[in-house]
Order: sequence, then structure tokens, then C-alpha cells
Amino acid sequence: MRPTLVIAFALALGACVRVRPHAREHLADPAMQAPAWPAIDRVDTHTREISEGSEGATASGGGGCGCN
Amino acid sequence: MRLQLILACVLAAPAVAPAVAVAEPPPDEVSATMRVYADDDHLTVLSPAAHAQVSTGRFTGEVDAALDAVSAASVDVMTSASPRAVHERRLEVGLGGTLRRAALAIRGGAQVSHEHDYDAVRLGLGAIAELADRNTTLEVRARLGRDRATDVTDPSFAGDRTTAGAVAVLTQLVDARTVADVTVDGSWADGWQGSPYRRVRIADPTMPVVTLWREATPARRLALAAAVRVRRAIATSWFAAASARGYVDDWAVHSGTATLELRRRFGATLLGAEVRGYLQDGASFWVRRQPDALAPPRYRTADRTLGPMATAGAELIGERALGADRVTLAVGALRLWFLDDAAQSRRLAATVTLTFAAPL
Repeated sequence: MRPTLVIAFALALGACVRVRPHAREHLADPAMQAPAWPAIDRVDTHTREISEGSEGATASGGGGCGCN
Repeated sequence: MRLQLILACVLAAPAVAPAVAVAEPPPDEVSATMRVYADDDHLTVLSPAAHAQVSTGRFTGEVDAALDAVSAASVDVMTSASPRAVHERRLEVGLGGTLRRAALAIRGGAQVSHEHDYDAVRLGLGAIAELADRNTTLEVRARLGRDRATDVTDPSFAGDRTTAGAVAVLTQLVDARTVADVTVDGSWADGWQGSPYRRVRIADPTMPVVTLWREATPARRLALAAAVRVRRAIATSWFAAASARGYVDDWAVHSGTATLELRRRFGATLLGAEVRGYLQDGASFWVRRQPDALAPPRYRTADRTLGPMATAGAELIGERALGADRVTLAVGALRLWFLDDAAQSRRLAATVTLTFAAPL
């Protein structure tokens, strides 16, 4: 429960931050995307889920970056 | 049937690739990928794949096709190798679409896959919304699947499984250089969840007889996974990302994952390195060796990925822009440790992945 609260608190703090569009130069770089290489990430996930006993929430996806 | 396990990955992947921004459609593009996997357990997998995406107005359509060609020394390499060579092929085809309206996108897709003893269908539907002047992105998606496993050595066998799941991803800009993601993923599966080819050995204590039993796992499996990821531009042309993930299910499997990534841009070239560690304990019914008994236990498996294990991996990735085209090469290594007390063992695997993408 405690980690959840920490995450929620951090996100709440983040929500107070407003990064203006002109300040998103670094965020817009393709290197900042998650994943940066979707095709590579897809096959890597493929390999890991054959080899390991759990799946889901791989943190490789993401809703976006708000970067452009 | 080995590919039954491979199919599990479809559950975790959305039917449509993750977006990088909601409002703008991605560029029209076609790409081809070839992955080669080889390990010291005599398993080789060739995985060619192709992807295309085209946008018209507010709609983007995508199509995927992938093939897995497996050569192995045993029916199931996770159990034990045998001198008998096995060759299998799996074909997967997917269709997806995204409809955008202002800061909202609705996405859907379907995938079907086929191999000679396994068929699967997956459906996915989701929505992405950009909020707070695009400082926050919320994505939710749901998935539904149906699988059927058969046994080429036993025509009377058929195992069906129904799966469902939901994922929520919250992405938040923290400052002009930092983005944080939180992912929560819940899944439910009901039906056949073993391999019809793996056999569990059980000895009769009263006689010198060993019998082989088909695997039997609980029909239902509920799982919850959550991950936190932070991405940051740490200096001019330098980028880093770190993530932590936890997983728990009602088979008593618990696992944790940590990753660290570093990327460096050199003009038209982007180089990356990633390291990843994974640690897992075993399912409640998993034992390395079943005790001798007159009757088999209710639940039994020979799947070592349901036992205590750890993995460590590293990958180097390079991408080069050639005009409007892009070529990406990734070379990786994966080490697995099976941590069952009396029979610890290791496996080493290598991967090479080449991708070519061109605008349409």
C-alpha cells in the first residue's frame, strides 16, 4: 500500500506541473518514446514471456508523451 | 505446441502498437523485421514479421503478419531435451484501427494465429485521452481471447481457454526533461493452461513402475501486474529510462522486474543499451519432482517456468536513418537460472533482430 501512495503522491505533484509546448524539445525526441523501437520491443517481450512465468504490465507501452 | 507459450505474449500486447501522441496520426510506413533466437538447449526460432500503417483523415489502419519457425531438440524444451528434432511453424495475422478526435483516440484490433496444434483469437479495444494541456495521458484498453490446444499424438484431446484483461496506463510529464508512466494490468484466464505434450512422472511406491501423467493446473488464473517507468533526457543527446514491475497471481507466483536503459544520439544514428533483471518464485503446486504415490496429485506440472527462476538480459541497439528509411539492428543475450533446489540449471540465449522501415 505504501508504494502505491508514494506513486500517487508523485503523480499528483506531477499533475501540478505544466510543461509548455515550446519547452518539450527534449521530450519530443524519438529516443524518449516508450518504447523507442516498437518492433524490437515486441519481439523482446515475445521472448521473455516464453521464458518467464508471468506477463503483463511490461512498462514497454504507454499512453503517450504529450510531446508534439 | 511449444508455441502455446509464445502465444501468451499476445495477451500482453495490445492489438495495435502503442501511440506516441494522440492527436496526430503516425506517418504512413511499412516495416519488415527478422528475429533470430538461439540457445544452448538446441532451440532456434526464426521470426520474420511485417507491419504497415496508413492514415486517412482521422483514421489510421494497421496490418501485421508474423511467422515463428521453431527448430528444437525436444517436444518441450522447458522440460528436457531429447534426441528427436521438432520443427513447428506459427502464423499470426493482425488488423487494427485508430480513430482520432481532438485529444481522444479510440483503438481496436484483432489477431488470429494458427499452428498445426494450436489456434488463438484475440480482440482488443481501448481509448487514449490527453489531458491537462497534454501534460497527462490516460490510456485504458481491454482484451478478450480464445484458445484451443490439440495434441497430434491424441486426436481425442482438445483444451479450450478463455482469457480477458484490462490495462490502464497513466503518463505524466514531470518536467521539461522527464516523463513518468504507471501501468496496472489485470488478467483472467479460464480453461486449459498446460501443455498436452509435457508429462509428469509419478512412481508407484509399491511397485517398480513409473507412470506419465498429463499436466493438470487450476483452470482459473487471476493475475495483477503493475509497473512504474521514468524516462529522462539527462544531457544533450543522452537519454535514460528505468522501470520497476511487480506481478502476483492466485497460483502464488510472485515476480519482480527491473530495467535500465541508456540511449545516445549521434546525428542520424541512435544507439541504445538495455539491461534487465527478473526474479520469480514458484507456483503453489509446482515441485521439481513429484513424490511417489499411488495416485497423482490434483495439480501437477513439468513446466519449469512455473518454478523459482531468475533471468538477466542485456541488449545493444543501433538505429540509422538512411534518408527517409530507417535500419535498426539489435543484439541481445539472455541468461536463465532455474532455482529449484536440487537441480539448479542455467540456459544461455542470444538474439539478433534486424528491422527496416520505409515511408509509404
